[in-house]
Amino acid sequence: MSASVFGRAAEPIVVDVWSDVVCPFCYLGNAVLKEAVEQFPHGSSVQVRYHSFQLNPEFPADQAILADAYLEQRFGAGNPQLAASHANLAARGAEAGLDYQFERTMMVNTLDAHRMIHLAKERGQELPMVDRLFRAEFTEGLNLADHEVLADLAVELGLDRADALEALRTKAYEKDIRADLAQARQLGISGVPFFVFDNKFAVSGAQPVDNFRQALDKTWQSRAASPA
Amino acid sequence: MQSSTETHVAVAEVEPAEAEPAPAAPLILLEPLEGDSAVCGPDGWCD
Repeated sequence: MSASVFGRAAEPIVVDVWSDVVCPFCYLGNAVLKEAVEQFPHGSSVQVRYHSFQLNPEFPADQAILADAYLEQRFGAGNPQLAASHANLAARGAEAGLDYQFERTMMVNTLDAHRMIHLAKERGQELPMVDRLFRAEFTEGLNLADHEVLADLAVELGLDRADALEALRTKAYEKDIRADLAQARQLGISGVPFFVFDNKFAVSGAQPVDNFRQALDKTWQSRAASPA
Repeated sequence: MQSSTETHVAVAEVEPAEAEPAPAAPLILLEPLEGDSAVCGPDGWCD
């Protein structure tokens, strides 16, 4: 008899992901994790949950600047490491089907974008919202601090525009976002993306797909070794 | 691009939060097969 009828194998493998929508490696990690889950023989038994993380929580909420300009302010104009980082991400992104347009990518405070992810989660649209926000940020160069832009994206996913604007106006989901940030601190997460498999194994960064496959395999084997 | 003479920072307030319990055992970090960390840090730098 398959162990999937009783015991832990009947429960989904939970992958908790800490991520920020202005983090280019998070966009890549999202795509690579998705590919690994598709390759995993038990992929239908994997549940991915996103958690809020803010790389730049001090960034003014009412401003948006080109991300390259922001990075040059912080790390120096013409920084060769910045160009190398972009080239590396563009190449790896292309392999994963992502179209990074760094010249139009905006730096914003992402708190309101995280509110939209939590709203979408309540409506069963968490992962589509994460995907949509990443594409808006890194391919379309949209301003994710603009409430009208965020409401437009919510409507695209079938959410109610008034609900989205109300969540933004009332600063909804503060408690959920604080809980995500607190849990990140508890886990010692200092950079994103960060992936936790079944509260047991962790992968830091947008690693190659084989790493994620390995994490899924180890998680599955760990369950088999310690049935409920 | 928006502009303003006032600076309004949106930060989730850091009062004690109701986080989910941390794992009972420490996480087992699976080391990368290759060299790059492939993360973005809190200073905004990604490598």
